[in-house]
Amino acid sequence: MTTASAPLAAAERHDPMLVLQDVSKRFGQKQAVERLSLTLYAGEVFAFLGPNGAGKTTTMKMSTGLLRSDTGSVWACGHSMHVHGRDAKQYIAYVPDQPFLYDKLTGREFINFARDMYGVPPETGRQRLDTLAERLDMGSFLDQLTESYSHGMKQKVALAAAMIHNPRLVVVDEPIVGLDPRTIRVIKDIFREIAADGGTVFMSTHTLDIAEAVADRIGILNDGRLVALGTLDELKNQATNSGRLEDIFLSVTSGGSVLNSAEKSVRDGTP
Amino acid sequence: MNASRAIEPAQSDLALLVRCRGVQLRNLIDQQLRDAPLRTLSVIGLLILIWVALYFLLNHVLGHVRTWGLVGVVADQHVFVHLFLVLAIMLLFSNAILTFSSLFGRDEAQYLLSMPVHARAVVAVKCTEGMLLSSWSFLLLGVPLMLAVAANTTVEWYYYPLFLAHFLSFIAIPACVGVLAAWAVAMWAPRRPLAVAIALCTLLLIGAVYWVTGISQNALESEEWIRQVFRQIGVVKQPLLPSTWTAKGIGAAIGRRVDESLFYLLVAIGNATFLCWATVNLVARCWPEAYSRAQQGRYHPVIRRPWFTTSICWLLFFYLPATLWQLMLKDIKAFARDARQWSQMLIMFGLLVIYVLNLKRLPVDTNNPTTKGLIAFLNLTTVSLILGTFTSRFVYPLLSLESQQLWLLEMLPIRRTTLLLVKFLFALTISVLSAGGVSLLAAHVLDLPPVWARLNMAVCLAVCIGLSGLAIGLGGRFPVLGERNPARIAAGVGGTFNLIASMLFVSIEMGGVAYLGTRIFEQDPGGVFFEFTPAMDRVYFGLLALALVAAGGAMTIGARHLARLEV
Repeated sequence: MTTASAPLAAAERHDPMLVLQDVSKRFGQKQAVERLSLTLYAGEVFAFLGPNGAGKTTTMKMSTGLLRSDTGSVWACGHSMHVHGRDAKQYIAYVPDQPFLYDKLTGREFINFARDMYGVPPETGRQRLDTLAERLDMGSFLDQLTESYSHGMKQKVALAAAMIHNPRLVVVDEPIVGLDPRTIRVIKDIFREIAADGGTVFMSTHTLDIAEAVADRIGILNDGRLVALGTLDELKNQATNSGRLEDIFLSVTSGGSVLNSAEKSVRDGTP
Repeated sequence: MNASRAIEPAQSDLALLVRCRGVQLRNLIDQQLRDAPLRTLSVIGLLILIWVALYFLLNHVLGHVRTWGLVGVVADQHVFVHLFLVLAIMLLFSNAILTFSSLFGRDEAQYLLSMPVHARAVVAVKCTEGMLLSSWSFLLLGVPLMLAVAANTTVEWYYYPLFLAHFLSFIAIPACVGVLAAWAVAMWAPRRPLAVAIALCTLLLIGAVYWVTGISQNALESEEWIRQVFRQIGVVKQPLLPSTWTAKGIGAAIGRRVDESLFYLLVAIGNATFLCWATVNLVARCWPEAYSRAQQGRYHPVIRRPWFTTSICWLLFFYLPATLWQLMLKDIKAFARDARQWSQMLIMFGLLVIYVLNLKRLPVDTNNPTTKGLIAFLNLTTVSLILGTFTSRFVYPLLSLESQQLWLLEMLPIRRTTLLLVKFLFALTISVLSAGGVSLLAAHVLDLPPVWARLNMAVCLAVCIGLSGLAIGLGGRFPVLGERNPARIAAGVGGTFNLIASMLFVSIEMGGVAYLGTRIFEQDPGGVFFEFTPAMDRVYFGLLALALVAAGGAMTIGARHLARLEV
């Protein structure tokens, strides 16, 4: 029996947590992602932006091993997702934009199921659930069947289930859709805490304000290609119109490109 | 860094998944008993009723076989071999469809794949689930069959456990083949799973037609004809087919040859165990890859010119005003692009058309007016029952499915009742085209006397009106708001009520046709010069009026409820 904890034991802030190397994915005639290279580090919140259909969800699914890339490789938490995906998943949490919950389980039963699947001791899990339930204000509906939940309630429970094993890499697709401002604030705090604790948050969003407020680095995807990458300040400095993130987004998704020199060399394969 | 857990063997994941299923089942039962006890009891009562009815039907059939002196046929496992072969094909297909959606679908499969769960545990649970879900009707049929055989032969006590053991070991084999078929489609034909399924069904259908055409060349008397049929299709009694092992094993149990029965049981169990092991390991090994490939099938090509659906809409609904015509076009496009709907309808009515075209080959005298009338009556009953099932499954949910977009339709300058009317016209047109077409073809092939042809076509039209009106009207009265799954809508309280009402309506209509048919037989079997008496006219128009009342009543109730509904 092997343990999956070893590769992460020595992981420190700024160690690569997710590495996508020259990754491409095609669905029939549509090139969803094209030769994407991207590295996410421990201790950062990374915001993934892009127009609808740009390939953000496909990239996230490849990052979590749900989709296999046609070319290139994906490494998460020190493991190849293709070869040792199960080992990597010990440390990953994925929350899709339409979270799945078992209709005939209560929120608490669902979270406990996730707890057991990740092998979290019941007492530790109970403490984490109590904390999450309080922070996300889930106490009033946690013991009802999930089929009666609103989208926001489902999102909260899915998020709590994803956090129950204290993941090191959180991949979350559109995390704040359908949530009230108070919960959005809590989620932003949780993401920052994960990063402060040496974890990584990889989130996609259309809400540019959230990206500006929470993300350490921002990547913008357009037509399956990474067209901008860097911190907010770097993007502002390199953009021709040094304005708000919204201006940069509109500029690069209309044909422009804002990649810093290091990322350009990675993409182009030049030293 | 906080380590989560060591990689554990599949057994612990298996236990967790099974426990999760157990909790879901417990919650479901609690919920049903708490929220809808009457409905739950009704469903259980209906199941028992179907079970008892099946027992009596099978008992009756076996009784006939015995009186025809065909005990040899039964003892020689002819009946069982063919029964198990047909059931195996059905089980294979249904398990392949269930497994494809559960292992390679979006929701639960995606969730489980994102966790560090052992693939073998997931595949094992999904296979078992698929097996149970697709074979429940198999078990429902099996127990009455077991009891019916026991009632018609003298069997020992060990026949019962042996029968069940043979049945259970047999189920696993076609179920595993179904899982392998689903996996193969996900791996190598992910973009066109439906096309593969339709191609396979078409091939099977062509094979079946060729086979049936070949064996029914001679119009023989029933007993000799059955012997002839069994001789010609004896090829299915291959010793390597699982259906043969099971049939021979059950035959041996009936004939009190325990050793032989146990031998075949062990052969079946051995093969089933190996196949289950191989299937679970093979599919689990490639599950992430197959899941990834299957997602490619969810990206559909661009539809640039929907000329076909537009032309059909022009042809069928040219008389509608522009706004309603657009609504109709939307429904036709939705129908044409939902292969589940049209493919099931096509298969059901396609089989009926093949049957009708082969009517002249039946081993009965189809020139005899009485026989013609009887066949026409049975055709009409079959068409009506199939149509009732179709309207309950696909037409009834139409209004509930609109509930997600009702706000959008609300903004249009039309009333909700108009929406109801459009749905009714849509359902009625499809019903008349399919059911009416088959009935017209049957009347032509049988060369029915005018009185029979008129009666059949008029009642067929009445059935179409009644069933469409009931399904749309009750769909409006009991809408399931916010539900996107038509199967769940149809399985709800309103859907069950609609099914019962539809079956009751069909029974009354067919009862009326049976009455009129009996009077025609009594007075003029040829029906060429027959004229309806005033009493018969009353029944005839009563049947037509009943359809209008059923449709109109249900539509009125539905329209009133829909008008009051807040979205």
